[in-house]
Amino acid sequence: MASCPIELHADGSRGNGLAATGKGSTGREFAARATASRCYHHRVDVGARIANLVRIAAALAVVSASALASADEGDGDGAASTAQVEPAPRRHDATWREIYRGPFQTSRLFAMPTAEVVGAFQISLSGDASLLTEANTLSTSSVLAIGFGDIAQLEYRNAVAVTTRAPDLASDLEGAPFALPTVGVQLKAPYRAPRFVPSTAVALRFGLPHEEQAGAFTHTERATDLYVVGSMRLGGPFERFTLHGGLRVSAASIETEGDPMIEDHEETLFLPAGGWEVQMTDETVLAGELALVPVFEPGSATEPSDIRSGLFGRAGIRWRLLPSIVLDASVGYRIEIARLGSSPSSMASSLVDWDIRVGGEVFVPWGAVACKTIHLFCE
Amino acid sequence: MRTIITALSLAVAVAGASRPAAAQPAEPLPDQPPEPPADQPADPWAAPEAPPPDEAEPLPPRQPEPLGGGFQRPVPRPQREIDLPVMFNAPTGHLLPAGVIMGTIGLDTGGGFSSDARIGLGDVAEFGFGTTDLVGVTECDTPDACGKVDAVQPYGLALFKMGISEDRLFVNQPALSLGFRKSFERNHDGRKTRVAELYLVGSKKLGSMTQIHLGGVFWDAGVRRLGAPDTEEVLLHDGGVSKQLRAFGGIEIEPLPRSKLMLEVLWTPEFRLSTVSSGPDEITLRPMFAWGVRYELAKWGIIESGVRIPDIEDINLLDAQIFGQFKLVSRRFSNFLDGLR
Repeated sequence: MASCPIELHADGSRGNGLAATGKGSTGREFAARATASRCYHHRVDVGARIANLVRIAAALAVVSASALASADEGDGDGAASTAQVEPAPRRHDATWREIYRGPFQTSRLFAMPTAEVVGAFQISLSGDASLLTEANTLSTSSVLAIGFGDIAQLEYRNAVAVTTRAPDLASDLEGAPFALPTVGVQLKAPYRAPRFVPSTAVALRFGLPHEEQAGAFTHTERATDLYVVGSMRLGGPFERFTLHGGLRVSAASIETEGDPMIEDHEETLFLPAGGWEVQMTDETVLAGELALVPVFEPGSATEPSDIRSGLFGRAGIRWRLLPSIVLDASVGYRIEIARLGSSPSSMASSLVDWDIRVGGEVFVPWGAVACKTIHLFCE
Repeated sequence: MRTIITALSLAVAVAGASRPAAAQPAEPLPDQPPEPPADQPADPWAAPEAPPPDEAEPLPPRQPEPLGGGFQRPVPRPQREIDLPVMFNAPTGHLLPAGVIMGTIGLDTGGGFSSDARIGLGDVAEFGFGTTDLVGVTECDTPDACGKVDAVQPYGLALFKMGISEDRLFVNQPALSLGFRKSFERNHDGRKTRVAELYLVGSKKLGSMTQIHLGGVFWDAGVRRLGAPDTEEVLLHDGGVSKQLRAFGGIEIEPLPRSKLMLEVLWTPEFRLSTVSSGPDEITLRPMFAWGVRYELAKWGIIESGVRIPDIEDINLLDAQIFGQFKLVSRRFSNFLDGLR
């Protein structure tokens, strides 16, 4: 075992694995390169970044909301997906039933973000968990998103990853999943998409640095993602279908401290993602997604660090139990689950490495709740 | 890679509905007015004939509205027959309706105990947990000299299944479901084992009394010695697709109201553990046959009993087991959700 992969999920979060890479990268004048390398160790002011993101989102929301309002005035039809239904009323006398009647807009499939954002004055809290992680642990992920002006959302993600502390696949040691946070902002293009023209959104996410201690080495992995996604509802006999396509440009790096020195590794990855959903009933959507995700492989004394990509796929349903509560259930293949297992040939065709995930999404119309309870943020 | 693409393609195919799908076909409300005669045009907007003024009944007293638009008492859906998502052990193409919960417990004369709990999700999927006693294990001195097969139990499983109900895409379309069931890891006999199955099954009613179920299943399983870091995990899929792919099915006949005769054939994994420390373990699939009856005690309770032969490739009546199962079907959560909506 020479390297310990860490992966990034399609949602911008990082996961990882424990399998040996088998890339055979030993014997590459590694010692000489390591000696010549410079070991960077950036410290990120997370608070300042979050504050900047909030400012950017708020400013864009104000500008875009005015653009959207002007677009609304002259456009009565079209496959619009923004602000078509009266949102939760922000009035003192609104009943709880009116407040929680919605509508509430989700901005994701399972892990793949779509070209939507959470509504204004609303919070979306979502998460899911793998029931069948081979390490007999429950791997979880979660997202907290706050909508701004029906055109932007600020989000905080806590996604599952797997520690590199299981250095030997052949042993019975098993890795422990850990949560890896990221912050980001997603903006929706402020136009009403005509038929056969996709609505689009762009997201920028900062992966907060995560340190891994592996023997004498301390690895710091991080990635910054620029993500562009388009969503288009089909017409005619396929009017219940919606397609999603995205491209993620991920600037990823592994910085290592230790003795002997390991060369830092940086890589820019272009990672496509695709998804589909079918409106099966008024409350239920059948959905699937397939994406490439970055895989981090921190180096060791014998192998340099590497960053590559791997497969991620899921299919399942999203069931709106109540207007403000969505239940998710899906089945699919996730790299980190496979690598937690002991099979040396872990790949998508290995059914025993698939997992079942169950989760949900809860919407809180905080603006309407605040108006009703403390008379703030009223219309 | 090919498997996941195939599975997702199947999901797309199953999902290609141009009409809204439901786990069970909708039935008319019991208090709906009767259909007009065929020679008389139907006018859904026609107002009912008002009685003469002197015969008009007084309006009922107005009921007060709930305070604050609060939640009202749930309004139950019209009760309808539920096509169960499983025979004795083999899955069917049917799904539980949204919010309906079903629990099953079973015992057999081989000392086996099984359980299952599942819930219908949005009329197009199911999710559940359970334990099974159908995973077998035997010890072998050589690959051809194995001992008695015992059950590994309890063997915990989770299930996710999605599909569409009968006649939704087109007339005579069978109910179709794509299911995935996977076990938690299980330590026993000095080994760590796990199993998983992906199946596609269709169910079709033939006349008023008969129903058939046919499907294909793709099995996978793994076994690894505990405390032996040099040994690799033995995986069923290392033997190729021919070792994994099998057909299964069954038939239901309802000769009397609420009573059904059922037969089913399915496949279960068997771990063949080598007694030699350096000998390789093996994994095989064995065909199982079961027949028996299902009786609906009430809308919420079903009892089943029958006989099963664990391995019909090597029939030995002494190994046959008599089993009994009880199923509980609850609509309370579904009604509760309807009330909230």
